[in-house]
Amino acid sequence: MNSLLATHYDRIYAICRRLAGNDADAADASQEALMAIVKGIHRFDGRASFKTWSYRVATNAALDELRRRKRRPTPAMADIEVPSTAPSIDSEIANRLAIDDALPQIPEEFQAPVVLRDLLGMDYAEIAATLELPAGTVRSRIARGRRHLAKILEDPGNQTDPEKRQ
Amino acid sequence: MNPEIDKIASAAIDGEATAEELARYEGDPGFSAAKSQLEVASEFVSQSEVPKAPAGLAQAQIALAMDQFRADAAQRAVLAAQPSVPPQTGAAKASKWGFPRWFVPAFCSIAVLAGLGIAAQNFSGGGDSESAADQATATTEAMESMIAADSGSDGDAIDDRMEEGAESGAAMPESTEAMSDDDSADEAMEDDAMEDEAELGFELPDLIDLDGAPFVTNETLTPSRVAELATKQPPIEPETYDRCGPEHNFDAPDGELVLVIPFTRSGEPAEVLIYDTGADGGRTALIVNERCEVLSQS
Repeated sequence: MNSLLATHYDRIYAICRRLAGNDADAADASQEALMAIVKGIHRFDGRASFKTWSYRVATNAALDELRRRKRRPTPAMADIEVPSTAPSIDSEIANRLAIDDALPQIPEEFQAPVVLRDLLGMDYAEIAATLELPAGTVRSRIARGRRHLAKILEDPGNQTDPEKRQ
Repeated sequence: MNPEIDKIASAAIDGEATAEELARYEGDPGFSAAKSQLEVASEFVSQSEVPKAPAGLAQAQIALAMDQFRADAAQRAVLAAQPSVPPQTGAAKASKWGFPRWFVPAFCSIAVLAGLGIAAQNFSGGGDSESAADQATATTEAMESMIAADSGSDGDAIDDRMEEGAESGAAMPESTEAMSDDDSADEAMEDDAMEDEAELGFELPDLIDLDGAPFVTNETLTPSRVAELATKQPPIEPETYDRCGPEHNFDAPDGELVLVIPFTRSGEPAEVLIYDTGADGGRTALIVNERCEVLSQS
């Protein structure tokens, strides 16, 4: 079990980190995910691969963490400095901060499909299995999530829903 | 922005659009524009640094999870050892038909002896239906007392099993003939293994390393057996291995632990399945190939 968790830990953490948007919440989410895996492993029925199942657990843990965070008072997104304008930090950190700012701006239901596809390189069938969604929904959500991101990248100051701005 | 075009353009970026869909929008400037815009968004995420856990976090979190895993396993083991659980350990372990393991060879022996006695009486001309019935009754009573002594089951349960045995009486010796010797050996191994298992706990997956080969266990594992399995190199092509499930006609014994030890498939992370043990806490093992065909079974 130990080696199993170690094998998958990096990706589980990566999912949590991208979806949670910061290290502290990612740490909470990844710990929750590991606990859920060890508690649920005896109920794991093998219908999906362990990888798919564990990533689903991680995704759910991260989304739960996001929901908990929304109930906590946090600084408004608009108050966070746009990192791309901070020349004093190196490009890697800038990139990381930029994506940490951009991803939370897209609706929650689009975040996980985009992260699983573009960060982890999972194909649509794997994402569908992981998120327990129809493949067509996955396809649509990835497209819509990317459209949101494209709009944010195009105009970082404007966070309105691109689907409402025809 | 056209949601339908976005959907196809996005799928095209991922190589998930069909030829028909691509043909439909070939030469469409709106499609090309959408594709390049969404490609930027896709690359924004895909080219970002893959987040890494801060140093030490992985070990700390895995250690915490393992503590939970051990605690859960210990709790399940305690529950499995409760007296309310039907006796399924050691010599009293049930066969797949629900009889105690010793029951089948005992039944065969008694049936053969009874048959010989009846035949002898018939052959000597002294046999009558009454004495044959007496023999049969004696045989039944002997089995009843053995079952009662072994399992402490109530009379109804015994009667039910005896009825099953009587109904299939003609077929039973034949179907169990091949089993009896093997079962005796298995039983002895299981008895020895039971003693070892108490020390093994639920750390078995960590003890077994088949160098990346898929591996399903379906045998009672002892430390020496685990060490032996760790040296094996099954002839496996991991690329085509998926997993072993009912769809592969792989039927793991109900209630028994099934472990699939981590393996690498085209560089992908390994898969591990762990099914819970039965009430007896026993563990059994099979080694399977990529088609889930059993290569060896102890």
